[in-house]
Amino acid sequence: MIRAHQLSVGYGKRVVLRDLELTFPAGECCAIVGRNGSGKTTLLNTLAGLRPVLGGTVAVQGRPLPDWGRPELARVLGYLPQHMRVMFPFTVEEFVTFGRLPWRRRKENGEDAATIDKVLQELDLEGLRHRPFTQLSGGEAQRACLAQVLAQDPRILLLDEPLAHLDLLHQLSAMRLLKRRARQGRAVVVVLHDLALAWRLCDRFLVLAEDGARSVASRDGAALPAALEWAYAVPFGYSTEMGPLVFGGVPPEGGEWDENLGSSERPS
Amino acid sequence: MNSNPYIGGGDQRERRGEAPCGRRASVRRPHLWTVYVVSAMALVLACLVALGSGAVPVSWRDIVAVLAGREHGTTMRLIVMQLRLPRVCSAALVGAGLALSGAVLQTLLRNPLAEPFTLGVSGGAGFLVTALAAFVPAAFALPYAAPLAGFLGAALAGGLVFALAHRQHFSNAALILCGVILSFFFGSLIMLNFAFGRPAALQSVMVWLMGDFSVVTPSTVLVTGLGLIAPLVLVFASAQTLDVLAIGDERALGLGVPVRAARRRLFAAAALMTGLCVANAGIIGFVGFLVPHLVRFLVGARHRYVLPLAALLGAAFLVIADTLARVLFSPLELPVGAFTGITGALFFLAYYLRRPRGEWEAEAL
Repeated sequence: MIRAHQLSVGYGKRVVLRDLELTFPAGECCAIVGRNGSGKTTLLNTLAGLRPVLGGTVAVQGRPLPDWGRPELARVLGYLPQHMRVMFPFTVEEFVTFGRLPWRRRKENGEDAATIDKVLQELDLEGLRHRPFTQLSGGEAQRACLAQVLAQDPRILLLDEPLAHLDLLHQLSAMRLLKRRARQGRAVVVVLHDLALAWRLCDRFLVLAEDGARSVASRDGAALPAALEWAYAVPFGYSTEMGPLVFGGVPPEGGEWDENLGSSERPS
Repeated sequence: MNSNPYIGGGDQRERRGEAPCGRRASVRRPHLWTVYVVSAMALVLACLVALGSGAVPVSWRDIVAVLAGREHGTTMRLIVMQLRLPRVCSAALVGAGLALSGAVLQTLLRNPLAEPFTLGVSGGAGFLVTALAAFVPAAFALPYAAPLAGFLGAALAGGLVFALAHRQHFSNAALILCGVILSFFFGSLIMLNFAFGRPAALQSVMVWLMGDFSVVTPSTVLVTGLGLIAPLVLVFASAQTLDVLAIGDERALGLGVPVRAARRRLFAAAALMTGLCVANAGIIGFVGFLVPHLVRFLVGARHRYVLPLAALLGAAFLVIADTLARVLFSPLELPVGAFTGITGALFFLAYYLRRPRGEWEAEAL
């Protein structure tokens, strides 16, 4: 699990988010949502130890982040960046195998080959096993990247937009995989733009906006749309079957959203 | 119940038969060992041909006899051991060094177009060697002066690129831009050395600058060989690190690789290899760019396969190129750098012209 105390994140001197109190417990899927530039990726980067904290502390498995050695941290925490540009023709199998690097010469995490076979099968990559990465489509490449992080088998998964380029079926199967990982006691933190997907997958939303962050349970029909309205400035409703829904169509040119719509008139 | 194998977790093989997965066939690469054995044989063959050809042809039997230590005191022994063997060894070492350096730099910069030459590293080496020859000819005449100056120049240019690109976290654009800037900068300085230096010393440097093995002696070969050991060991030991660096720094760091230290070490090794090569034989383009490409085409991208083959093929390529440059217009000897540049450019021109018109349009837009 990851715990952050009075955490401020940002670039250089520019603070994007300040004084966050966050807990991502084991066994839970949490979605980080928010507008463009609200600091989703920056927060994830910082939690992964790839960017210095601008204030406060981050503790991974109860131990402060700076106390972890890199190889040690890699066995506990897996981070999937949003974009991975690979210019060299590694095959999918080779590419996924890199995820086993932190476990090199360690048997405690099972055999490499068995783990890789399982992950390739889970993400429907068996047929692409010997295909060069450079020849994959966007969605196939993204599945390969996800497979690499899953092959790493960390206790904490920090994933930045892992489903963005997947087709619907692969999105659903990948979500099932991540849910299963959470049930097995992993902490799963996912940055997502698609609120409907986030609602299906996650137990909790961390909603980011300029003036802070709100953590709400994804099945809380009152708090969730309110938090989303706060972050996106768009009227939200909530359906018990579909999750958070945006009211109305496209807003008229130069006009505002109909003021009659919004959290006050939510369908039951 | 659920007929969709994705959601229901049913038989995936069933789906794969009809899925659009098979629209591109998996690559079929030649068998690894076949590639290695053929390449090694090519290198040996190239060396034997190189030792035998020249103004005085030497038969294979005589070459073997000389190499085996017989034929004492003959002219043939003098030609083979004193003139041709150092040259062949030098070409092989430089070819291997440039190809490895190119492979490492392409990975570090995550840019398949990178090579030592485009990064200004060779330019720095060329600058310092020409400066030495132009203004301190006495020091230039010492046996180890040229390799040392070449190496220091490469370290200077490499350090400059490193420091400048560091500001931008070694992004491809920053590295290429810094490399281009430094190439121009050092190119101009080399011109200045020619303009204001002493002409007598500079004539030989001019030929050297275009890539030339005619000045090698057994001692320079020894220095190059010894100097290449450390970076070679480092690079070969870093095969796995290079693999992970090739997929991006963020992910590499996330997999527990100390990225900054690894990059620094590997960059230094590449600069050292380039410096030694440039000091030995001047600026030889295309080897460091072309050979790693060919190698990845043959054995894929994993560095444990790429690095040994790059060394083998780089060596074979340059031994062949040097022999052709020496023999083709005999008694006139072409500078080998000019030779590899011209043949490399023609090769790519032929490749380019064979593409159907407009094939790359979609990629270019």
